[in-house]
Amino acid sequence: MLFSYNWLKEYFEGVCSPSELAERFTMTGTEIESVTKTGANFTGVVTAQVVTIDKHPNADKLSFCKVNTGKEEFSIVCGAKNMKPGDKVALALIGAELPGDFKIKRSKIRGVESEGMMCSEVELGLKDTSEGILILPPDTPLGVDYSSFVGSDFMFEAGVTPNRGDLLSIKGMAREAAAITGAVFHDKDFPVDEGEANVAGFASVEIAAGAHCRRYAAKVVEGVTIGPSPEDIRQRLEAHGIRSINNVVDVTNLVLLETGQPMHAFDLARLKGKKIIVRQAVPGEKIETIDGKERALDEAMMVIADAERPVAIAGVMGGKDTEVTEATTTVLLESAWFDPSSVRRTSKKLGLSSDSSFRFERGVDMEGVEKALEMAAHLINKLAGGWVARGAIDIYPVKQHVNPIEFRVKRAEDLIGAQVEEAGILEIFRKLRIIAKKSGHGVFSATPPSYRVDLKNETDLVEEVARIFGYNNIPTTLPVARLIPGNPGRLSAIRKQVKTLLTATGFMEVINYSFVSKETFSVTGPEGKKGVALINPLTEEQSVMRDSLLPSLLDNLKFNLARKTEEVRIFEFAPVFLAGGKLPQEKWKASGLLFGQRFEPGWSFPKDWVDFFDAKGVVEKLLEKLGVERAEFAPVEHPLLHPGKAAALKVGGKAAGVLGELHPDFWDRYGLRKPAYLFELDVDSLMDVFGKTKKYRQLPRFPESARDIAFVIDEGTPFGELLRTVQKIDTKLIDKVELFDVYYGGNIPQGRRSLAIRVTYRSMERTLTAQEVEDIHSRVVRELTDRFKAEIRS
Amino acid sequence: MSARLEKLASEALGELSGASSIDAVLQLKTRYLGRKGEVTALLKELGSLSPEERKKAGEAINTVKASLEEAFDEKAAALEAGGRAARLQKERIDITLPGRSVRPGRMHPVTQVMEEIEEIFSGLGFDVAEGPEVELDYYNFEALNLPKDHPARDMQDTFYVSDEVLLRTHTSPVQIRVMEKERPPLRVIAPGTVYRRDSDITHTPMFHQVEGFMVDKGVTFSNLKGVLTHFLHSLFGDKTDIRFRTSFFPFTEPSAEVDIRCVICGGSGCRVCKGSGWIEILGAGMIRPEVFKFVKYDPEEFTGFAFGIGIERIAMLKYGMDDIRMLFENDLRFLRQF
Repeated sequence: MLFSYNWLKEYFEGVCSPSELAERFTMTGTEIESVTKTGANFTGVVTAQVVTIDKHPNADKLSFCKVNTGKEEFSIVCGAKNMKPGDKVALALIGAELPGDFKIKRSKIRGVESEGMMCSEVELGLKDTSEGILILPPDTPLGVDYSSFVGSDFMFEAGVTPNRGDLLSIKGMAREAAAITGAVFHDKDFPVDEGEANVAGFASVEIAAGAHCRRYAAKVVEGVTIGPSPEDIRQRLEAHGIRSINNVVDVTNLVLLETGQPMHAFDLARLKGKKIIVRQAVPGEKIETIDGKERALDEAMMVIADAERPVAIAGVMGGKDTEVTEATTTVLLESAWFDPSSVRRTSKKLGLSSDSSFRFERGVDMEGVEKALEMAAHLINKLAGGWVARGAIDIYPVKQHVNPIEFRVKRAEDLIGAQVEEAGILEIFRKLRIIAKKSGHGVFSATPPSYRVDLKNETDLVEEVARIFGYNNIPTTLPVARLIPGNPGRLSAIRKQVKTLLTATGFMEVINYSFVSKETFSVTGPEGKKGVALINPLTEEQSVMRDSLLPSLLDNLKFNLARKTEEVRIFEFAPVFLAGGKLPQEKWKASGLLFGQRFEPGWSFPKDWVDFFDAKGVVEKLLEKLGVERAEFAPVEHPLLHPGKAAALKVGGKAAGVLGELHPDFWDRYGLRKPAYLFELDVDSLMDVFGKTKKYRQLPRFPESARDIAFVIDEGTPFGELLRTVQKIDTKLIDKVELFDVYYGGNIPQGRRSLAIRVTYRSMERTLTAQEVEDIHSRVVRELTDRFKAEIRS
Repeated sequence: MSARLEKLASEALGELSGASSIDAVLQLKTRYLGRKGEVTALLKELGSLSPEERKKAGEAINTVKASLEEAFDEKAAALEAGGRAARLQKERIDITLPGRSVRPGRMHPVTQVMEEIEEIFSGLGFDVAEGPEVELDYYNFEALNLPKDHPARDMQDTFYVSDEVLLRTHTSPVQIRVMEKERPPLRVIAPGTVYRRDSDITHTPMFHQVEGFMVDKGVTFSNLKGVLTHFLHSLFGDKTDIRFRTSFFPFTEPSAEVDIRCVICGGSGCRVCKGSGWIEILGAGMIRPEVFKFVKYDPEEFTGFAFGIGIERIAMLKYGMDDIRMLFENDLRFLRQF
């Protein structure tokens, strides 16, 4: 909220400097985001009068003027056209300094000397736009420093927290400033000169049953003359971000700014039946609001109606048809209290927020309704003339009763952690106008003022004590607690391990947005799947929660390739979201992408491109690190992966992820000319086996005996199957089976390949005899030849 | 004989000086000093001399033999040393070529800051808890004393999945989930991803927070100051000035914003601190009795504090970044820097 320091000062005695005040506000809960000096920001500008205006001899668009300051006459070349002889102007003399480091020097313009400049409001830094030079009122004295007319002020930009509705006004800010600085606050009086005719004769007000309105007050002013407001009022409104409309409307806005009480002025002549009825809208009802838009209403919205139709949306905006115009002669002023949640619901539903609704939502002082009405009547009477009808209509069925709060000094000390003197507490309460009575030993009965709608219970009062006492005066102490180390939890622990291993293997960690476009979401198939979609995304690009991390990684690849980073090894550790249930399922994934050469490109490594087995190697290392002992890889079909180069991972018999080469169909989409490899592991499945305590295994005490076998076999026979078969021949005596060569081509027939394995035989109980090794080895060879139709080469 | 001996010696030395390899030296050595060598042959002739001459000649031959042997050995040694030096010379490499290694990757700067924070709190005995990112309105707002139609909801622009389901706007719902399941004493931090409907140079629609809270008998605002001061001193250095000022969060009271002295300008005022000399670093406060009632704790028995830290903001301050969006572009040239 914006507020003027000068305006604030109207309520004060002994207020501190703007910067000190800003500091106090910031420390006590209302952050002052900026303080801007406004007004005169120039020197050397005096009031003067235009004597003559002649054409510039050398330029059609310029004129040559004689301008008098009352003491001296100056020759001025001027480009503006809006002045005439006799006009009073603001004249910048030689040596004057204007905003934007603009110094006025003696100069020749098109061959004619100019001894200064007649200024516009823009040049003086008073406005953002202006037409021509500034023409001053005819009664302006001559030869006076113009800055003394402009005056200066400081505009405060305050971040008012949603609980402090009472600060959304000059008066509220002034009360707060008094409480936090110790200055003396004086309320203002607005005496109203009332006429003979009683207000009851002009109009009647009724609050219908079920309407969320607890107080509705009105006054009538007849015989007003609608016209523009005086300049000082226009300026004040504009400085606070409100456009000047006419004298009556400006008064309602001025009252809103000064007291925080939203006001509305109706043209009484246009109220059918001279009636105000506060009621809920009837479905199908419509209203054209003063912004010229037609709004459909429903029964959840509260309206102000006349005898026939809605004339305002209560607390939000007035209606076009009953607004004050130049034709208006009698106005009905509304000052009311509408229920905050009702106003908020209506405002949200209509997508219409106003200065009024903003304040009603945050709580307006129910007891301030009448005073605001008086201020408005007083000002309208002053600015627009007319007669104020006697008295006010004030429908206030149940008077607000502020309940006293029990405040225990001990409780305050227990929460704050510091000793607080009773006298100190009472002094703080006094500053905040909280009425406190001692009701027991260390207990007060405290009644907050009606405008502090945020103070409802003891804790609220404890905060008041703490903030006025000053947070920085509260001692800083470490708590006393049981000496137990923190437990990182399983997810946090596995996350750390995965990230450590993958970064050590050369992967960079990326973090992508969890939401993707619908199109990206569909990439991983199957068609028509249900996702977790946002109702109100910022952009279509961020509208569905992803169900796989892989498309994001591919997008990262594309992004980096476009920036000439051609070696890309990245991973992400994040949850994916699967529709279903009250809340979607969130499954943590550890996913990676490999693209580029196997080794860092440079002078000394082979320049091989990564392949499936690089990806598989990373996955295997990761599983090993996490303590997975048995993992199975089986061929799988996956929409993103090459059908012949994709594997599903199983751990402990459960699906735990996929890996493989990006399907060539996607190369174009991601701008690739070489294959990329992907893996996506299911962290939950790995969690089951992760972190098991490792058990020691005795080291072998008897020698091993290794035999190599090279053989030719059908290409379609998976090595994994062969490996498992060989291992099972004798799980006790076969210690290891290692693949050390794979060879295609040459003299190997088409459709077959040559494999070479080393089988290591060993017993944990004794040294195997040559015969025993021979026996079991021949069983291995037999199994290969009989079962797998292998042709032994050596 | 002595003349032959001398000639032989000088021939041998002459040839030796011309020898350029160890092999040549060994051949010469065999030729002159071997069993069938020329000097050895002279020794064999000694038999034909008179005993006196034999003794003299024998001594002379042995002297020559010894000196030749020494010369051969010296030459061989010299050649060997020279050869090794040459070989080593030949084996010389350009040690200014770049080293070879598997270049390790890096953790994302957000992860790095998050882990640093986790470590500090782990040292104070805080457990780590997690909660869902797609959350019920109840946990994200309602149970945190943010009823529907409350204007404080405007403080956090929310993405909705349905009327009751949303993307959590802070990690505070984890507070409620943990307290529902466990009884005090509790010391917990909850790191995680959060979402707000906002996007500009200082806001991204997704970002990260670490929530922390402590609930026990006798936990005070003074303790909150103690723990957070320790935390900020660990993160930014012991000399960092800290201030606590009043703020408002619906789920804490008294509530505080915590500022540190601007790390960029040291307090004199700059663009980063908007001239104030202070940088807002986290929000905190004493957990409200209303919140305790939702999780069935007796607010007269237990008190507690809670705080929330924005990770990106700290990362940006730490690394001097000015555009938060860089953190989610995943440009590897950027990520490599951390």
